[in-house]
Formats: sequence, structure tokens, C-alpha cells
Amino acid sequence: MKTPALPRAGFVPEDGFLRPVRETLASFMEGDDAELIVTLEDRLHLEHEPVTGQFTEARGMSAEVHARVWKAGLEGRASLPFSGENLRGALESARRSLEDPGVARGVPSALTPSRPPREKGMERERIVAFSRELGTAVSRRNVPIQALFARQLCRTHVLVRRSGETLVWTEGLEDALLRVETSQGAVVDGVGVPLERAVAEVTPVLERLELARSALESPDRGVPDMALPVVFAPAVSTQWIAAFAPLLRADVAAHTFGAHVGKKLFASCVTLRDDPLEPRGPVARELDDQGAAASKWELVQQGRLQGFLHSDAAGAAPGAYGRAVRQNGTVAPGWSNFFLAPSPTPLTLPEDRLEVCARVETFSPRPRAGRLELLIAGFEVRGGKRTRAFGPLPLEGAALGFLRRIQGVGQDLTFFPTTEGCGAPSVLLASLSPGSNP
Amino acid sequence: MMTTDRHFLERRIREDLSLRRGQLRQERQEEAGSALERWSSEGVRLHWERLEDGSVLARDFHSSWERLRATKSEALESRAFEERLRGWAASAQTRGVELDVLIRLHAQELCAGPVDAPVFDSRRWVQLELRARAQQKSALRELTFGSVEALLAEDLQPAVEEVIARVLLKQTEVAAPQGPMTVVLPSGSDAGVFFHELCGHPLEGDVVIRNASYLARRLGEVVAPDFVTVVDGSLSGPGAVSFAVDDEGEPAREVKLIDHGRVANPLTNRRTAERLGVPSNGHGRRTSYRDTALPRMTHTALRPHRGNAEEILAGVEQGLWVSFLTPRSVHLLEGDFSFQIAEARLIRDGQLGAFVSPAALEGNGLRALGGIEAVGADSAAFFGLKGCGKLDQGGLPVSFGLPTLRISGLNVRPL
Repeated sequence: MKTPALPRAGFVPEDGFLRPVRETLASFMEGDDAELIVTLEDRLHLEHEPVTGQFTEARGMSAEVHARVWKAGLEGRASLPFSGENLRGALESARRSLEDPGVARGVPSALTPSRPPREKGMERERIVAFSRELGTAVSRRNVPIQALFARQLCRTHVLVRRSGETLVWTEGLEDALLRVETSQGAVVDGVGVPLERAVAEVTPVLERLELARSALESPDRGVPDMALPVVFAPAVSTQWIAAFAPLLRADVAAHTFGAHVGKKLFASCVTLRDDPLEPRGPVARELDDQGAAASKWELVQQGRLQGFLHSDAAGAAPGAYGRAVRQNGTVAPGWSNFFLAPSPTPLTLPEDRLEVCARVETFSPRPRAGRLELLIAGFEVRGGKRTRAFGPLPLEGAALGFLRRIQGVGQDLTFFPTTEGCGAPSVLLASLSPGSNP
Repeated sequence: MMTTDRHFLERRIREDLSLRRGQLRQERQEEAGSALERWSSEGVRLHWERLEDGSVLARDFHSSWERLRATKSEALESRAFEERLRGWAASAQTRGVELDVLIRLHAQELCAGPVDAPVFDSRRWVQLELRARAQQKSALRELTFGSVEALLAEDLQPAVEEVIARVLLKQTEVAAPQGPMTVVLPSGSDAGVFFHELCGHPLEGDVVIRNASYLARRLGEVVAPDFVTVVDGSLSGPGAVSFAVDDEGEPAREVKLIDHGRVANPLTNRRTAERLGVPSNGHGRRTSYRDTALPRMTHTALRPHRGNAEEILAGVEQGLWVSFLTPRSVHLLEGDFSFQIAEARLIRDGQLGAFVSPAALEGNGLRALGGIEAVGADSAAFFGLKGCGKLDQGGLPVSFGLPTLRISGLNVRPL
């Protein structure tokens, strides 16, 4: 079959595109039901060096076809590059995978009604304008930004069932990273919100970077009093939240936390939420990669474990389903805007405390899920005033241990592209002593 | 500024054949794509496209695309391996060991360089991973071959027996020691990642341009004994990452990172070479046509010197023989590092003793390089399946060359 002309991601495909997909399904009579999802992905990466004004840009579009076939309570799946021939090829491969061995899943329920695409599609000019805006803001302050990395991604999925049901949805992701070199190492911060709103975020990002730089460059640095209570700023607390997220995937968690659902594992101020529609998050998706409705789900509610991240309805608690993420053709449970929920009331800060405001970049090739090794820096605060700086200081431990030691949560929720789009507000822990590392 | 447009076309196949918990599985991924790179006074623009017959870039680079398509497509025939794999697993089972096997074929045909004068290259390797598990302990053995035929022709029973014997020996593991000590890294082991992290990444061209590593700030200075030379290149042949031209169509060259103890040269792609005012030394690599080329490592090797493992061990009263290291973190600017010791044995009076529990190996790059006491003549290559990550380009195949190496004063901390 001739390959239909591809529309750009972010726009609703016309009949000329849909007809061959429907015809292929109609002629594929095997199984109880079958579906094809065509995914178009438009991606733009931009690196900007404010010092030289040079841009490095990579942009392109790819398309894949994913097939699912259901037969006698089993489901077969396959993914191939999109082409006219591969529409049929993907269905055949999915049918063959039923035998190898098929996954026990019935035909999903009726499709969620399609909503108009929220994303505008790719706009290089927006991302360039943001970079230039940032360059101007940076030139007004004493923050030597070494590089800016920005990313736009727009994905349109077209799902067609043999029954004729059709669903089209679009999702987008935009974020930007800023890197600052100091004499003690590099600090990276970022903006994890749509860039058109991110211009307003430039000032807080630069303020965070300035604070981190002042801690690292301070001539008055010493060993901190490890017995003091410690406040982790969002740029550091988010690292622990991101390390914990993979442990809550249903396929992983069943073996580790399965017996703890319903139990209170953390302080009541700890609520962990995954919300693909959270407006402050970098991701905006109404449906997951299999077309299931994506919604807010509190995995930990006031310290109590409620459940896990699920890609399929089987075994999932209400609200937990709709978190299918496809990577390299394989679908697995994932997260979109996973965060520690901010407190409704301000965090009461002890007068004497440690403030951890910076994480120095270390070349960590393969961080293990659930564990972190960080280099941190910050200030010792006495009587409410920053007295001297400390760091870089190594800090390592398990994310679970960190969460269990949280005593208070702030209101300053911030998302970071450096942490797979996860977010957190400031958090308060009893101490930073080596014997009780998180 | 060089302004010639360059293009990059590739056809890439990755095929896995695995036996895990008695289940044989085969998975094949095949992808082709093209990128056109244009330099201007504003910077670099890369426009990429996944290639299918009839796509725009495929028409633009018709002859190159036809040539890539015509290349014979290698494949793993499961029938050729199934009996052997099941035989190994059954043999391990009789000794209470579970054996998982993974065979991975990587084949890449590519065309890179100026649009009017492209260079073609063909890269392929086959990797075998044997993972033995018994009573919460595991042992790993990874081997690399130049082709499927070479793998089929090899007698692999000794490697299977070795990994089974090792996991059984690990059942009597003792607690890892603590404190500063002499460490010996064996020839051809995964521990070759030590120089990849401590000499390679700090001397990548973009890092050197930013003066952002402890070695970039010491170019030309002596940091190690005279007998220490560390090189990076892709011309080492079977058992190592090997190619004739890099992903920008530039001839691949061997680069001395540390030359007789002195910090020598950065690894460059075209762009960083231009910024540094030197010719590219053929280290422009990308994980796919979707990515811009970055200065990356290929095969990072410590040049052999003198002696063998027995001679190098002979001088060690107490120490640790570390055969498997996993990077935890490296602070590029200061050179402070932390690796996880995934497999190690005690050394007592020059003899290997019991395996030890997991630990961290910590220190500083300058002190570690300065503390190298002996480098053997017994160099061998290690090419693991994990690959190397940089920025958002992960999983790039890299390999290491390591003779037996002895370093004093590294800190070991049980985990």
C-alpha cells in the first residue's frame, strides 16, 4: 500500500491520511478486535551559547505505527516505522506476538471522546525568542550562563479501531536548561513549563542560580553544623523525588511495596502526585500513549501509600490507570509531572538551620533507581540570617529514606527538566548528619 | 568558519537473542535516517528525517541511500544458537546456578561527510553476555566478536564454566575492607572504565573549551609517571569499538590523552576543533541521525608497559583486586570520583583471596594518576553492552583497553 502523506505533528490529519489506516484494519479479519496507532513526533533541540551568540539546532520528524490485536483474552503488540506496507506488517507482527506469549488483557473499553488539540505545534521562533530574552536578562545580572539547552516536542497520535472508532490527540513538552560554571563546578537549573510562560520564569531561575553561585564562590566557607535542621530548596529536593518515581511503577513496585498499599509510610505532609494536566508541569497530555485518559493520581496521600503507576487497567486502583509511556516501541508504566505536593500553609523555618540551595553537577553516568549521590552546597543560617557557606559536600542515600525523614513541606513547588520533569517544593528534615544521611 | 553542508545517512540494526529463565526471545530493531547539517554565522542547523523509500531526503541523497539499502542485512538465526544456549543453561542448572544469555548484533551502515564527497563506513560487532546467578549473588562475563560467524566458530564452553565457577566462589564472600589501600585492576576487565571516566571525559573537546575539568586546566603538565600513556581511538580492531571514519566523515585517529605522564590532547569533532584552532581528530560521534555530533570517546586504552599480573601482584601485601567497576559520580572540575566496586577479591601477600561484598572506590583523579605504581604488558580489550552517556545522547558503544594496573592509596568504603 502506498504510504500516505504525513501531516505535521500538532495538526489533525485529514481523510487522505486516515483512509488507508481504516482500509488496512477493515481487511485484517483476525482476532476479536484490532487497533492501529500512528504517532507523529516533531522534535526540536536548541543549544545557545550567550557568550558567542551561537545556536546549535537539531530538528526533525518521525512517524511510527503501533498495532494491538486482541484474541481470546490475550493481547499482542508490535511497533514499526510508519509506511503503507507497515500498517499491515504491524498488525501481522502483533498477531504473531499473541503466541509468544500473549499478554492476558481484554479489549479496552470504548475510547474517550477526543478533545481539540491544546498544543500549537512546533514554533522555532518561540524557542529562539526565549533564548534571546534570557540572554538579555542574563546580561543585566552577574550570572555567567555558559549554555542554554531548550527542547520542544510535539506528538500527535491517531488511533483507529477496526470498529471504526477514531481518536486523535496531541501532547507537547517544552523545557529549557541553563548551565553556570563556578570555580567549584557547574550548576544546572531549568524551566519546565511551556516557553511562552517561561519568560516570566527567567527571573526566579536566575535568582536561584545566583544564590547557588554565591554559596559556591563564597570566600567564607566552612564545615556546616551537621546537627542543625536542614531545608532543601526545590532544585535539590526534586532530585530525591525523581529518584523515587521509578520505584512506583506497577511492574517494579509489586515486588517491593506491594504489601504496603494502604499503610502510612511517611509524615502526613507528604503527598506524591502524578498529574499529566498539572499546569505548572512541563508535560501536557490528556491521554496516555495507548489512548487511555490521563488524570491526577495521588500515589501517596498524606503519608499513606495508595497505589502505583499503571499502564493497563488490570490490577490498577481507580485513577492509577492511563500512565502508559512508549519508549523504543515498548509500552511501560511511566509518569508525567510527578511531584511532591506543596503544602497549603507556609513552611515554618527554624531560626538556626542549614539551607541546601545548590547541587553541583557530577558526571553520574548511570544513577541507580532509588539511590542518589549528590554534591550539595548552601548556607548555615543563624538567627534567621545566612552566616557562612558550605560545600560542595557529598551526600548519598536512598530516596525512600529521604521521604521518610521529611518533617515539613513548603509552598514553592518547582518543576525541573533536569529531573525527568519531576517537581518538589522546599522540604525540611531534622538534620544532615552523616549517620542519618537520607 | 567552514560552511560546507554535510550529511549523515545511516541504516542501523540491533538484534537481541536472549535466553532468560528458560525463555528464548528475539527482538530486532531496524532504523534508517538522514541528517543534513548546515553551518552559518548563527551556528549549526541539523535537519533530520527518518528514512523510508520516497521520503524527501532519500530523494535528495538517492545514490547514497541506494547504496546503504543494498548492503547485506546480517541477522541472528535463533536456530543456530538455541541448542547451545539451552545446553549451557541446563549444565549450570545442575550446579544450582541460573544462567541467562544475551547475544546482541549491532550493524550500522553509514555515509557521512560533504554532500558532494561522502565517505561510507560499515560497523558491526556481536556481543555475548553471560550472567550467572546463585543465592543472591551474580557473576557477569561479556565477550565481543567481529561477526556472527566468529561467535559461532568460538568454543565458548570455557567462558561458561568460568562464570559459573565464579558465582559459586562468590558464595563465600567476606566483608569489604575499609580505608586507603593498593588496588589492582586486572587486564581486559570492565575496570577499564576507570580511564574512560578519569581521562576521557575530562579531555573531550567541549569540556576543554570551557576549561571545565581538572585535566583541561593542566594541559601540558605532568600528572602521572612516565610509563603512563592513555590513548583513545577506533582503530584497535576486533574486541573493541572500531571504525575508519567518525560520524562526520572525518578519518578516525588515535589521540594521546596522557602522553608519558603528561596531559596531552583533547578529543575533537569538527566544531570543537574549529573552536580550539586544531584539525578534527575524528572523534565526532552521535547516537543517531537525530543528534548533532559531539566529541566522544571510542576505545580508551592504557598503553601496556612491563610485567604481568603475577609480577604486579607480587609486591602487594594487602590490597584489593577489582575486576568490575561501575561509575557512581565524577566531579569533572575537581577530579573527585566514586565508583561502585561490583566485583573484587582480597589480595594477601601477592595472592588472590576471597571475593568481597559491594563497596565504593573513591579518590581524586590527580592523586590516582600520580599513584600508579605498575602497568603490565598484558593489555586486553573490554567492550561492554552498557555504552556511554553524554548530555541526552546515551548508550553510545565504547570499549576499554587495560593491562594489569596497580594504584596505591585509593579509598575503599563498604556500601
